[in-house]
Amino acid sequence: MALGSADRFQPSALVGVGMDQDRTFEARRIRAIENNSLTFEEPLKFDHDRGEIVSTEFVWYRWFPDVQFGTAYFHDHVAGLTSWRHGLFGALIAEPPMLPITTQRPARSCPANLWWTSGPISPFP
Amino acid sequence: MSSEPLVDIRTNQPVSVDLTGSFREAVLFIQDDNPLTNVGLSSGSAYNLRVEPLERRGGVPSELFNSRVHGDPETPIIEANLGDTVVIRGLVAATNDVHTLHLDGHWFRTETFSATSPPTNNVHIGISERYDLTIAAAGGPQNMPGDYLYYSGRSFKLEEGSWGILRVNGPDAGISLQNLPGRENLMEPAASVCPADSPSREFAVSAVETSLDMLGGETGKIYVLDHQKNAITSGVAEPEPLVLSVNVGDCVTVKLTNGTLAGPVSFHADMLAYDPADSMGKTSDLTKRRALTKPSLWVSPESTRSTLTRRLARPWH
Repeated sequence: MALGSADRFQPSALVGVGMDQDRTFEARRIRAIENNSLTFEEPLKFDHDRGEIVSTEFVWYRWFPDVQFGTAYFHDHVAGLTSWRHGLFGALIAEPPMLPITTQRPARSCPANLWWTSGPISPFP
Repeated sequence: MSSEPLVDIRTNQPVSVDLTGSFREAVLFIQDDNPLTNVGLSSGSAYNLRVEPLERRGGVPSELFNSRVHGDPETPIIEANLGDTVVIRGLVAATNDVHTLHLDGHWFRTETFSATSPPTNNVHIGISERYDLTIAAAGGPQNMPGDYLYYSGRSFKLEEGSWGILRVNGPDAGISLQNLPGRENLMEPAASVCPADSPSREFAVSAVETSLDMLGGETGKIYVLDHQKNAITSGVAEPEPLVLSVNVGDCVTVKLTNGTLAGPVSFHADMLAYDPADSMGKTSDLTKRRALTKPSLWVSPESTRSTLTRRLARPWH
């Protein structure tokens, strides 16, 4: 992937591609840098437009729900008194063990694919 | 996996101490600190960044919650077929207030995996708290489709727009929700609220105006039994909250007369089974001095020992 400048990056760094996107945001580890081009350890899944932001400024949280605790509240902890009222919060739901099946609701909802697996869920260590 | 506050969860595992299997799920983020619609000194409120302020609906108070008159509210519509299990995951994503979440016509356990957690229809949720409310069957113990309200138990938050609808579809609703596994055949609604063999109890009640000590002697409104009306309004008898005692399994009919000088009255009873089409006490327009004899309430086994009745035609007054 060609960048305007690769000066900020180094091999083995984890970078976010499409930081300003939602559906097509993806993270890859840099295998090599040549001139201003990055080569990743894994190919990108999505096409990315010229001008999209590539950066290391994201945090990747990984959690393991070991019981069906139901609803957990996640939220900004930097400036919650102002950010929560503007929507910087969400919920993580630990559902009962689910069947590997696609659910769909009409009209006002988008499809949700719900999976349960005992295998690896991420190529990243 | 995409993110959505309204989903169907397909499972064959327990979701509560009472229930196993698939369910309709709704995540409700209860908020305050909303200056756009706050009332008076309240900090404001919202559900999932949405509100439906009552003031903006206008019209007669008895039709405030009627979607046929005002359209659906902007707050989440939780849809289910009659008999579906519904899980409402309430979470206070807010900084200032303690909230309550109230659901009409249904019951749940505050502690969803505790068999000793008694049935209720209202839960108190503090800042950053969350409760997973498992509703055994959409349509309630009365097994009837219709629009059931969920709302903040704090009246000014309700006025600000913190309310919404649990829409329970009957087999003739023409709504194409994907059926949950095991519920391919939609349930038929009950023909009546009360079982055929239930004992009948009838009460004649009037809403009247009288001086109340708790208002510093100003005039307030109370429910009284008809035969006590004259004594209380004339000052011969002291006003006190109306308490009706019934047995589990009774079919209760309340004949309500509007004895106030102005304004509508209604009669809404929590934790009793009723037909949402005529006995919820929200859409009846009892503005004239006449008796409304429709309400029938069934004291189901899940009813608690005491229930609260109130006027809901204009809930903030």
